[in-house]
Amino acid sequence: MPQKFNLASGVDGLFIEDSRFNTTLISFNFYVPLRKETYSDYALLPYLLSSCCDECKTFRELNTRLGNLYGATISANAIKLLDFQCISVSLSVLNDRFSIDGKSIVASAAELLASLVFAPSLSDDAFREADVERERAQMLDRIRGEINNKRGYARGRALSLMFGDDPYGLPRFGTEEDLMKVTGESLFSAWSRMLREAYVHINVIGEKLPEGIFSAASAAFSAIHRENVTAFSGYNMPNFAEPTTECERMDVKQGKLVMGFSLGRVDSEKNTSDIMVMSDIFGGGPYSRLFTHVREKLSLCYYCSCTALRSKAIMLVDSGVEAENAEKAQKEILGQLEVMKNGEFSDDQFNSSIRSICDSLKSIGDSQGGINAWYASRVFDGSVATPEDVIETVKKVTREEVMAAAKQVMLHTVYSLMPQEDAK
Amino acid sequence: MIKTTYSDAKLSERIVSATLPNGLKIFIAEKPDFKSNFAVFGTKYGSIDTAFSVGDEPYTAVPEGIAHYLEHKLFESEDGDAFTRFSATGASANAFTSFDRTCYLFGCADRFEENLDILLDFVQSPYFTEQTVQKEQGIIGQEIRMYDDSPNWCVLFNMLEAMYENHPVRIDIAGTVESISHITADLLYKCYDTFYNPSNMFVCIAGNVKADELMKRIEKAIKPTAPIVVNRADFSEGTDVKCRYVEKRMEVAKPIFCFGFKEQCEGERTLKERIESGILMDVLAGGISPLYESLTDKGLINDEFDSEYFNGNGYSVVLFQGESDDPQAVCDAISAEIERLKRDGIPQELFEAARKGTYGMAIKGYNNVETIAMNLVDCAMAGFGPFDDLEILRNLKKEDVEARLALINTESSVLSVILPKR
Repeated sequence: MPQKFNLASGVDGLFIEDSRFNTTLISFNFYVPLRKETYSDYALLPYLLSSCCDECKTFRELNTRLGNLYGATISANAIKLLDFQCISVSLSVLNDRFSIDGKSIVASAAELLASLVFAPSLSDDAFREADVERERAQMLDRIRGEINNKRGYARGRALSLMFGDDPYGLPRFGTEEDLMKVTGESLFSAWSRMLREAYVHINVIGEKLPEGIFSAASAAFSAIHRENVTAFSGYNMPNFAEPTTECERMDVKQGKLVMGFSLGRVDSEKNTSDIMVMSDIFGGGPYSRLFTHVREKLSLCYYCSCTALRSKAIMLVDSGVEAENAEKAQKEILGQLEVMKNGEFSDDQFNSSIRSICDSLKSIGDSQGGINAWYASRVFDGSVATPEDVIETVKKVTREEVMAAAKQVMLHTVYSLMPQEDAK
Repeated sequence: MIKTTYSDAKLSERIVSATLPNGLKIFIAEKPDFKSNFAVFGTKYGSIDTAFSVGDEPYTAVPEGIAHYLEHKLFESEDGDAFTRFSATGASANAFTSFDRTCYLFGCADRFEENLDILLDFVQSPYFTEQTVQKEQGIIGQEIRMYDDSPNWCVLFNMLEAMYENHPVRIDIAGTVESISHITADLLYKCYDTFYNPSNMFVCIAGNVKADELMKRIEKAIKPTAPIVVNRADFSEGTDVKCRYVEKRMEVAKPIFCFGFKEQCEGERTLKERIESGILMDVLAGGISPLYESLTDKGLINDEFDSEYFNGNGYSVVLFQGESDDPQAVCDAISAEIERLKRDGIPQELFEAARKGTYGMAIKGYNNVETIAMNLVDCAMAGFGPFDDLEILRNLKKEDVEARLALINTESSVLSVILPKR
């Protein structure tokens, strides 16, 4: 069972003791309000923090340190979660017993992680210009490079269309325009605000709690005047844009069709489980309605599957489809949703789905990354459910509850990326 | 059945292997504290095996993409498909075909033995008719078109095509819409009977299992088949390349490049050679290298930049991939760095950081049952022991890596670029 420690105002530490792994994972997760005006600063910040610090001023110095710590890895990202942006900087490091020369690895790596978070490389009250420009250029490439992966690009476009001006509709890495406004000063201000106001959740997963890690974090945060700490004010209904249909043309061989649906209210572990089972029977595994009917029986798509995003009460169906089949595929996908609503899915499909979801949930605890992601995404849940708790809820889901969940589903947005018309 | 048990002084892992009388290789890693399990049933048969013979028979040439086609078709049987069978147990099943192997696999927490029985059964039960073979052409055609839209895929194959005159590594794993149109049920059976003989296959498992019991279960499930000797056509070629620069335009944001040095390669690289070259890649162009720092500072690469030692039977490439507004400048810098390191030698501290980093990553791999099982596939394919890599890394010298560096001929390079449409 996870052990939770309160380290400072709005700063919690979670230690999950697990001696099965050869590594220790330490993850700093900062939750700040999701707002357009601060989005790009916060999106860039984790990349900047994880590229250098006052102690290792260049990326190469940092990487050499990590290499010598037996390939310790730092990962950083910022994701949207409910009405928040979650900024993470994480470390995965080999346990001390594997050291060839007998020197401690974990404590040194943990200190390095703390330096990245609390002691970045600064010039007065700003991040250094050269570092900012380097990371800005990388981020610009990430934003523009979204188009390289057509499936991901199409999903991102559908999300943006669904949410319109709501900050949840912002592209994953933010917009070029906002990125250009970021400065060393604005990043410094975002970093200081994050340390002052973010709700902070530090996850440690490993055979033992590295000595002093939580006390050091506690001391660091206690030295900061913590105020206006991000608080969860309940689940809010998503702020959707007007429903829309958009077709974009590009020089591609295979088309992409993404359909965005709203799911109604998702505010408890119980109706989350109903939705999980419903969306899985609809378009999860190879037993699903979309796979067996739209892909296998009708051969309309190379892939056709659906994912539910519980944090925003939406579901996306995405498919790779030939242009001439797109209309028919859309009709068949909606037809399968009717099957779900009418309870015309088979008992086999229902049972396969429950078994498959439970099997996947059981495996989460076998990966440090999986455990970290599980708890990082549930910090606002009050009493935090373990994967085992959710398994028990999923097992109790009935056919009627699946039908009821399907009846809440409404088509909102259709986005398609299709070959140029003259290429047909 | 003679079993071998492997262990390592530092790791508390137990891995058991055996080879059945019919030649099937089995590797099992016991992870008693884990809930999840992972199993692979595979064959040393991939897209490069386009011409072969059994015993003294004459060589048969088969259409490009047939190994991948066979993988798709093997999921079907007369009374349904394997996915349906796995659905009833909750397992997550899949398969893939690469240049040199075809693997069928599943991951699960519950009902492992039942799932293993399904895996062993469906891979040993081919069922192809002209009608079912015909039907698959549409689905695979869609898969090929999906890859045609992937710039990272295209940039690699364009490079390989420009680099290799004859070796089938130059062809797309799935073939082309045209090449797969020549695939028939008879040809699929011919390939199946040749390469899906247990003597060419392996079962690799990691999870909460007991090796001794599973060995017996596997032995019982494998159909009695006499071992055969498969001769694979020798496509090895010299270091000359067909063309040193290729480009294509696609819907990408900025130019994507793939740059490689072709190495002389007969047969397969040893594990030690692969590790040495892997470390060389880190020293040359990894995050710890002066080159990476200089290219980043000049804005010539972004974090998509990566390097790989790409090798298999009869092919070997020191390969770099990334995005850049000036791919040629990146390639020139890489070539210059190779010449500089050849001249000045590799700094000891750079070598140490790369060696320790590689060692740590190898140990990290034991955190995950899927990674362990896939590493055991490498062992079964190439004939090395599970912990040999750790032993090699503990004893590796800088001079070993410098010897690999000396083999790179900077004149045998190909640059492939995907340019933006707009």
